[in-house]
Amino acid sequence: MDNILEVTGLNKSYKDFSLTDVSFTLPDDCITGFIGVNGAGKTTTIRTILGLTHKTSGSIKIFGKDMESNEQELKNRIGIVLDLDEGYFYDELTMDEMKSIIAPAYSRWNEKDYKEYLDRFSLNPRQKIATLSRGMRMKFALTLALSHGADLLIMDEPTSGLDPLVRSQLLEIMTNFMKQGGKGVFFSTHITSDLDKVADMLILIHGGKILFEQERDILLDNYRLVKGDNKDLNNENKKLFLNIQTTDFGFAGVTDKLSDVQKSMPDILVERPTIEDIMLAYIDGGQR
Amino acid sequence: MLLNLVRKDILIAKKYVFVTMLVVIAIPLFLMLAAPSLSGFFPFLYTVVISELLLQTISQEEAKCPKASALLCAAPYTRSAVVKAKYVFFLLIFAYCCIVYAIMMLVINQQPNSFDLTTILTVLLFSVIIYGVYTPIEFKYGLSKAKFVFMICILALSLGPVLFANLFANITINFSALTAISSGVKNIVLALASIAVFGISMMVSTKIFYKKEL
Repeated sequence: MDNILEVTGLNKSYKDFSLTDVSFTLPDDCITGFIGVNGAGKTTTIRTILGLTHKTSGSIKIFGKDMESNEQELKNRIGIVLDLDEGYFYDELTMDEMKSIIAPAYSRWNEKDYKEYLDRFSLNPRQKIATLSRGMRMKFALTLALSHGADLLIMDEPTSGLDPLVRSQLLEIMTNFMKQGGKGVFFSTHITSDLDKVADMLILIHGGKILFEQERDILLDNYRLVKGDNKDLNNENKKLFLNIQTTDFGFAGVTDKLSDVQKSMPDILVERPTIEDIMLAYIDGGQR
Repeated sequence: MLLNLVRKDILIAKKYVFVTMLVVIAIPLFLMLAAPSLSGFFPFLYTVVISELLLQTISQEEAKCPKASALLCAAPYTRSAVVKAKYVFFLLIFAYCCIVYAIMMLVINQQPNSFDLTTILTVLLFSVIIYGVYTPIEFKYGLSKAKFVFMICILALSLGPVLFANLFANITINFSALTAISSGVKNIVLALASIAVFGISMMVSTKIFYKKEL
């Protein structure tokens, strides 16, 4: 498997936040979920990868080429869907006018694909962008991103604030995009339930640092959500958990040492965790 | 690529483009009819400066969509192309003003001689200085602060002649040396100065925009 994106030792400092030694890779033919709570550094990382903000140090390679010295060539191969909340489109223009600005920048722009996606999403190209709903904006952004033969799709929180139907359409589009082969999707979100369905790889960022980078199935196989009685907990077996949440009715904790936990507490309930359980366990565990 | 970005500027300011095109006709028409003796330099300078206000409306529209330039730069448009497009648009407006003004001088004023190359180049230098100072300030500090610069320039142009006449009432400056210079030399100096100011301003704006967090 080749790497589509390689980020190595990425550092970026702001007054009150910094990305610290961020390193990860995206293999091809994989949908990679970039997860983390709000303010974890997902958007900053994506903006740094795209050169919208300047890194303090580190290297970014896309398709094996350095991003800084091959910026135009590489951007030609990237489809982007940026955070829809922040006014990335000129609201007073129609979708067709916006397209007429973006399309000439891409050497492989395909008008047929553009029209097909508009039809598929039931978008009227003469409609003003200001009148589009959030879901329609996302669909339009996706139309632009998929109409120039992109090999890598980078999306920043594309599902945030969307209804379940639109979210499911987006996930279906992503899956179809991957079927072409040799492609990659890098998809940041804090709604991890979307990733349960489509992600192959998961990268968790928190406080500007990468906490893990792992295949989704391995991650879900490695961890278990354990529930039990508070009286079974002691200082020794607490160390076997990433995090523990206790209530008057009992405790719940995520562990990757199930056999040790079972030896220490035979009377427990074991469940398969969700990605969100593992993410929160890592974040909670890191904070304690 | 550059022309597509110029086209983008026209598209986002399309509401104002038509008005500006009319204003470029209306201002000299009014001045020629109201004060026929004022032909040449001043009406043309006013026309150019007022029409450059269109560039501010583009910035206003851009300010409404603060992240749109990020989308352009995330696409294969370079930051330097985004900056250059603004300067190219400035030149296009100037060229339009020149053509309209020349036609009006011929048709209405019938004094084509008062609108010669030296007048064009002098106004070009004036407007390049105004735009050349204004644009890097706008890239660095944003539209609202840059507007102050433009307002000061407009005020200076409006009050300047009266102010200077009063301030330097007792001082006599001998312009005979200037008139002695051949118009060919004057034109070359004006053209080179305009190119220099234009080039330096574009370089500074590009550097500022390159460092900007989009």
